[in-house]
Amino acid sequence: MAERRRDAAVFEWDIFAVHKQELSQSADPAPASEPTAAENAAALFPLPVPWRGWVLVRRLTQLFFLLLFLILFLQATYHGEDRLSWPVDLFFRFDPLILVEHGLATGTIVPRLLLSLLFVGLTLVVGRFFCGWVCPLGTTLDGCRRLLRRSQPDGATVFKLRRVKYYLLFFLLGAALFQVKLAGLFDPLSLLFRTVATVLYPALSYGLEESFAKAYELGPPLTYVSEPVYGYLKDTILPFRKPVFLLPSLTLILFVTIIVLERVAPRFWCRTLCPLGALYGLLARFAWLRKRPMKLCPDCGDCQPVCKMGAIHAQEVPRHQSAECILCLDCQEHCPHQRVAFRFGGQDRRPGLDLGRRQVITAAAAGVVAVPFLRLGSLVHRPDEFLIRPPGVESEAAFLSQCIRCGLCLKVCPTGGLQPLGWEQGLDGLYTSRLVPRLGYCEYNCTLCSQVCPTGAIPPLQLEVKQASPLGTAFINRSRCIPYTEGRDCLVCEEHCPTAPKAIAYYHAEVADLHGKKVMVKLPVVDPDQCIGCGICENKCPVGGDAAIRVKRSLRLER
Amino acid sequence: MNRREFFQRVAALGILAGAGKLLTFPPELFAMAPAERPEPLLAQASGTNYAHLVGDAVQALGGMKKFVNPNEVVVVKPNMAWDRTPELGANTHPVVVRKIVELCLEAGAKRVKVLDHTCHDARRAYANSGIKAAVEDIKDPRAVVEYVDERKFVEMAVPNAKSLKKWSFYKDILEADRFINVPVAKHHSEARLTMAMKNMMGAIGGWRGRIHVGLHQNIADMNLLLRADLTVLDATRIMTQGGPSGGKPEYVQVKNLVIAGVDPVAIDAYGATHLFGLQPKDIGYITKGHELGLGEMDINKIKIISA
Repeated sequence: MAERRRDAAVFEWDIFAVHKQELSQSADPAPASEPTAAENAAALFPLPVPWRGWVLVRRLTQLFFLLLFLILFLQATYHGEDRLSWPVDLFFRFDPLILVEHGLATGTIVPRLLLSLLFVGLTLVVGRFFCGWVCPLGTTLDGCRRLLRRSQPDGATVFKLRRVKYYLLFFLLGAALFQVKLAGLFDPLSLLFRTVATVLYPALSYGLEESFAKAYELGPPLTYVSEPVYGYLKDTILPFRKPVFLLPSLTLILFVTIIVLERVAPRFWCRTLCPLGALYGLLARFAWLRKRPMKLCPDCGDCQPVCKMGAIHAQEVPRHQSAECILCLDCQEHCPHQRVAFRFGGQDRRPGLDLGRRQVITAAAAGVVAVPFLRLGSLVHRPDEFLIRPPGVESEAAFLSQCIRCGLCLKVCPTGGLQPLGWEQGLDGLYTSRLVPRLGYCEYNCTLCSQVCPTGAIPPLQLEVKQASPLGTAFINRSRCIPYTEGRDCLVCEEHCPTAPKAIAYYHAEVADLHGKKVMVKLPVVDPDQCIGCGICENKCPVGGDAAIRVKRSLRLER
Repeated sequence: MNRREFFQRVAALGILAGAGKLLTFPPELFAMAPAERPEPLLAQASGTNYAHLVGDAVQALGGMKKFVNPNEVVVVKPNMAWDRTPELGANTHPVVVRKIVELCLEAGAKRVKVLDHTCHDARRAYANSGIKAAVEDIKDPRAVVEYVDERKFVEMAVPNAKSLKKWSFYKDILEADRFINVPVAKHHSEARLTMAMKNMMGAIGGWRGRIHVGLHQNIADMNLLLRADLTVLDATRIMTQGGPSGGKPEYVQVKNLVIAGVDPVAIDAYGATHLFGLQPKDIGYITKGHELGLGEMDINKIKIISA
């Protein structure tokens, strides 16, 4: 491999030219003819050999952030306190893409997202370290790659596709200017959190719960072991109630696709698609910290195949591209001559991005042009009668311009009522959160979703305000409701109605029962002025299938 | 270990586990229903120190030692179904529950479990009812507040039931040596009132909304199986409207009363007349419970001791 590459390199005029130049600059030039590897190292790179432990430090850092991500994920739940004590949205505060997109879409800055400027600053100093050291999706991909056992070298198309991430970034930002906010679909943190919250964690908890339930059924002596283990898991990682979410297959397919793309090339997602990676890449191009040597050594070139980002590659000259480099330091670890080091400064010309001015403008313009087309898909469905948004959301348009589809509210909702929206409202509604009362209602005394929302799409609400903010209004379907149709008392909806006075009242009336006999029953009726649309009535209604009482969008929510 | 060895060991372990399973006794469910009709004798205590009221009322019936023997497992079932604070009267008062648990512990109970199958989110209801904190504050490892474990609902036939012939019931309650019902007295829109018998809704599983069609007979029927050894009715404050969930302090009337007894029908009948000014026959499940032989509803045949 190395032999072939060296041969190939000889034919590229630039390489030797550049190196000769460097040789002449050094104080004691090594003989240019047939230098040994050791001589080369000593002469060309008279710098101390870097510490070999950096890769281990990087891996431990990656694990630390992945664990932190998972711990914060588990903490996003009700713990007996009305206010969450953990900053469960921390990772989204690391994300300048959310900050920028939100700024473009709404013209406002979310203060808690300003933490991402720290990462922007660090990226300008050291480069795209976020992707290599922090990003939990990147760590997941690194971990899965080992299982996928990929061996073939990267194909040429991977390098051509690298520019796609920049196109995608500018497309998304262009669309954001007109309040079509799609970055959340591709943002790695949103994508991972959403996937873990709605598919992986529910699958894990379902699997474990069912296994332990089976063990419990079998009884002793199995339960002597299984029950303490179950109790421990219940206290630590298992959810209080088994979560279920809509769209599991789509979410899983998207995630698995990203994982399987690792077989095409390592970190395929990060190289070619990730818009956050693109944003960090744009900044990292100017990073102060740079790899030495900046160009591929003519006599070796071993770091080129080692690099999982393909950062030591360019059409004309194999230079190190700091926009692609995620500082994994594998090249430093693998360098057989111990030449590779990362140092600050350096006057050498930086390689260009895989991106021209014209492409930037085209991509952003495409994003702008796409807006009406995307909007048509959602406008045609509005207003959907049963699309209930989380509490405090006053207008559909404002919500769509702010929700980043991260899934935090879905995770934290204690009843499991907040669910991801499917294609019903077109692409710009996909994965935004909605309340599905049949699956779970809005708990009257709870404000957790408004506490965790990273962008304030669900605005922070005092409990009293939340309890007075209607999500919708309940309507009784009198051709399904039991007292109306069967002449038998029920009133489960009225019983659970949390407002005081209750928004569901009842009156005594004579109706025909199933045999046509006149009977006196209590007939429920909704007071629309009192109803806050929490949906507990729809959730608890004993009528199967669609409930006989359903929460509809209030007309006052429309714009 | 190669694959063959692995499978051999798995098989050996499996056989061992199976044999162990056969040797140990299967957990026996026993219906707790006492055959004879309970005595319609109630003790009523009045005052503002709620812990003392509980102590006095139970003492008037002969003391907790009469109901709980040493080394017994006791389930205490308050009403803590709602995410409501104590002053709203939707749940049993935490001081009342705590005192009951303390009395059981003093009587030598091996374990006292406090639980309810809630209507609101259980974590919220347990916390905001104040009961979880009150019981855990006793700091006795024998007293535990447990969330309902869905695996422990077992389907049971209800002998002599007229409507609820089969339903799922909570195993821990059926299996406990002693079962103490600690309801709160409340208005209830459909059932009119909820006290002792209606509180058993929190001891059953399944889709409970379904039970509300033909509610009165169903309540009476479930009480055939769920027979408390002692019922302590919390009437320290009662909810007079907006029940069962309430939500306004104005709905709550302070009564400063605790009523204890072993006859749930008698407690409900007395509570209906004495607390709410209704007649026992106005409430369907009282009549139906009486018809099933669960207790006495004739207010003249119920004996009240003032403690």
